[in-house]
Amino acid sequence: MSNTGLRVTGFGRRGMLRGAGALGAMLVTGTAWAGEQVDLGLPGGNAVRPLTSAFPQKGVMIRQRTRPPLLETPFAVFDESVFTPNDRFFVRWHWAVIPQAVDVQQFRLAVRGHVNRTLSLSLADLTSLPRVEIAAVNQCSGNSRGFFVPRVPGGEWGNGAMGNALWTGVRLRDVLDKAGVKAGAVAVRFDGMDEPVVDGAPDFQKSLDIDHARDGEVVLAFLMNGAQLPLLNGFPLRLVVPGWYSTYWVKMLNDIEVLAGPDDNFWMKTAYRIPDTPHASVRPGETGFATVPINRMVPRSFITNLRDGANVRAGVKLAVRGIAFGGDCGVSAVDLSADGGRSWRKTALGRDEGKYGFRQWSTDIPAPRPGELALMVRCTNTNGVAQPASPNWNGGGFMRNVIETIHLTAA
Amino acid sequence: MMARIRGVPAFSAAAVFVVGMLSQSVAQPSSKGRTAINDGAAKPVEAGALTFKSVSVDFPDSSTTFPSGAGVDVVTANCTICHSPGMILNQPALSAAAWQAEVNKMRHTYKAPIDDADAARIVAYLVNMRGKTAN
Repeated sequence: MSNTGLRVTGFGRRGMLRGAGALGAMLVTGTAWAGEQVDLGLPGGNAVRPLTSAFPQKGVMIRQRTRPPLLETPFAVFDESVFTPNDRFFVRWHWAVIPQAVDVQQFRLAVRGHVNRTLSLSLADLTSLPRVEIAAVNQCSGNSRGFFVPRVPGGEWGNGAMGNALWTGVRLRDVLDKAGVKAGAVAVRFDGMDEPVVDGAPDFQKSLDIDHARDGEVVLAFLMNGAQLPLLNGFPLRLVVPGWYSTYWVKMLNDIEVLAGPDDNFWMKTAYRIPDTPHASVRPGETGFATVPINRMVPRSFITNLRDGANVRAGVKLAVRGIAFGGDCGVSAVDLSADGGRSWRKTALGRDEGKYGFRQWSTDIPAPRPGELALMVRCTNTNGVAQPASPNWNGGGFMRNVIETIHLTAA
Repeated sequence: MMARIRGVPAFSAAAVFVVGMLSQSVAQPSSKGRTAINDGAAKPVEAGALTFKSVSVDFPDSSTTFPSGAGVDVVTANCTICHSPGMILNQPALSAAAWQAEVNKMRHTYKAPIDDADAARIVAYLVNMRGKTAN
């Protein structure tokens, strides 16, 4: 299809995806990809998923569900570049009624509610506002849910329900100021163009506290890695909430409502709640704990150039590299252990593209002896928060960020 | 139950066309340097003209079917109103109580138009299906 073609001018100030041939990757057309599968290695089995290139504007993805689309990024993609290519970026929709066409001349964003002036903004209106860009990780609240033990129902993701992009757009604050937020506003609610299939089901909406909405970091993005967004990633406009889980990053955003009271809609009051406990963790079966809406992300890190179960050469030093992110702040350190966590070595951090983005890291470890080898990687963020040694558990399968371990055989 | 089911909007035949310049280049105060940070981590950039292209796509249909078994017709007819079979087939082994809770959520929260008798058949199928297909 030609609709991945980009018609962006006046941008191009910097390369987007170093080392990945971003534009080349985006121009790859969908070809048959029949029969290929990936085993996500989820505990308890039922972990094999098909690879697909059947979705518009997307390359080869792991198919978790066709309708509404749930597409996971194959993990090898994260080894290729610090920014995740648009056509490999994960996809998650709640409801199956998703517009399959967007006319950029007809599109309007409503800004209404507890404001002085109701607005109806075209893309031209939005692009005439002061423009900003920010590198930020977009990660599903339930990324890695499939690794929970005991397992929990939901989208059974491996680790690929995340991605990092350079988002370009306008500050939400500037748009709210244009409308004039009235005194007494407490929250801002966001709604996209998707709709439930069955009448009466809760339309997908999310909200942020008014101070968060006005903090200057929340962005209405019309470019992703310098290109217009793939439709499945929210074309033509997506909310970007740096440091917060993807549930807030409303796609196909066309309605902003300033609220004079707290938002009690289903997706804030009932869904996407986490235990109000350390690491959002409870014991399986536990009840009676308080919950809060999921919010800030926590640090994570991954080895990307070696797969769990891989064979490596004994007797020569082993190059190890990967990605990390701090969650709601930057990466302070990424450490690697080759002895089960008894000792840790610092890794070299790659270029800082912005505190909310992926940070590449790399190191060499001394030549392994023949036999089994386990590598663990741990991110400590700039707030001093490190990944925990034990996995968290909650019934939603949210916020997994345990230290990752891969097992290798040196021979 | 008389729930209204929405179809997919009939936009897919819309012509794809390219619009011209949507906006004129807007001069911004000096913003060339990447170090120009004001509040927050979002950095100002030059607001040059952008041209967006209208998009019209088709989503693929699912060709996945549920394994045969008692109640499979009821499962297919009801569950696929909102989602393709993969959502169910990719679940881990779940207890009967967990499947019951999922079906309850689909009916009462997400308004799936399923009556009590069909709901019981669906739960029975799901429990049996997992028993046969887990591992």
